[in-house]
Amino acid sequence: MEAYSEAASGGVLIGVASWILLAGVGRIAGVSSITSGVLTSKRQSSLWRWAFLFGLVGGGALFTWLFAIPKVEARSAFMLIPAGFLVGFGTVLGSGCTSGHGVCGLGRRSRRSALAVVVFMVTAMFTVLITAHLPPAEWWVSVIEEGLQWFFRR
Amino acid sequence: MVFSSVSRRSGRGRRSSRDSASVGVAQAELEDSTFHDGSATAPVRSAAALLVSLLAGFVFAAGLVMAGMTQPSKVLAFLDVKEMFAGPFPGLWDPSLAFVMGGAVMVTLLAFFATPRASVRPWFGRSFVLPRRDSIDLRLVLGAIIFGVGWGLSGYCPGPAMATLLIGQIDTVIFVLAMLPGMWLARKI
Repeated sequence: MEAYSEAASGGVLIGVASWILLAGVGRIAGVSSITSGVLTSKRQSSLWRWAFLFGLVGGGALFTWLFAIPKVEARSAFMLIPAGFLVGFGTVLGSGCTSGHGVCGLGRRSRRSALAVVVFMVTAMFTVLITAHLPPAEWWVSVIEEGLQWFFRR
Repeated sequence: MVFSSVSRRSGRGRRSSRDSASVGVAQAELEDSTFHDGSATAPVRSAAALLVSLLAGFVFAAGLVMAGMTQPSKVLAFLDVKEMFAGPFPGLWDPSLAFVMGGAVMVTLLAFFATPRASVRPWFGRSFVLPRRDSIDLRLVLGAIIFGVGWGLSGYCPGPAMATLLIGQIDTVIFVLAMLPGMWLARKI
């Protein structure tokens, strides 16, 4: 039960943060848009994005330490790099991620966001369903290595 | 339902033709500040605006960490719906993250209803910059699918990934270093 109340109150905080950004500077708190905006926009108009990201990264470090959240051991780069690239590419192509479409888009009752949320939720669940049954990344690496060795021995 | 943030935020526009003309001006002002283009008609750069953005990011991070969103194992346990059938509902499935979205959307429903109606402009900016598009296109669906695959593989979406960038785990650093070129490429095409 405690997990549910923590999740819900964390969610409320995320909502409050989005409200602060909306009321304060009139912007959508979408992390993919803000991060990609920093990469491609003019520096002057992106200062508020830098400020938001600064708060996000710094706050993340502070609260992880305060709540003593366990760190994650590094997983295979063969999974992390494609996954990161897909997340970056997909969120910008689709104009939003869990925060932009999920938290803010649903709050705005946007049809586009509602569809996007359903699509990425279902796709992610489907992906987990498949990968849970597939052998781990190390297995694929060894298969590729053996295949290359076999190929070049001929 | 035609969506326009402008007509939505000012009930005035529906009352008389003169008022709707002034709404038209506001709409033109927003025209070149559409969502994902990165430019803004009203650059936000005052110290107060930056401070409030910083605060928003900070509170956002607190929420993510408290909710458990920054732990990929928790996210993947939520996405693993097969575990639902491992016993009486919810089985071994961890539905707690649904409460994160639930709690957040309850607040933002209120926020996006009240704030643009309460005032014409934000505290420290010239105008509300809200997406106005409401048509569903291939980019949206394709993007959501691609994002879903990456999210399901790793358990990271952009917010939690950025929030755990500097906590001293190499896992997220690799993820973010791969995410940024992906974002850059999608912006360029």
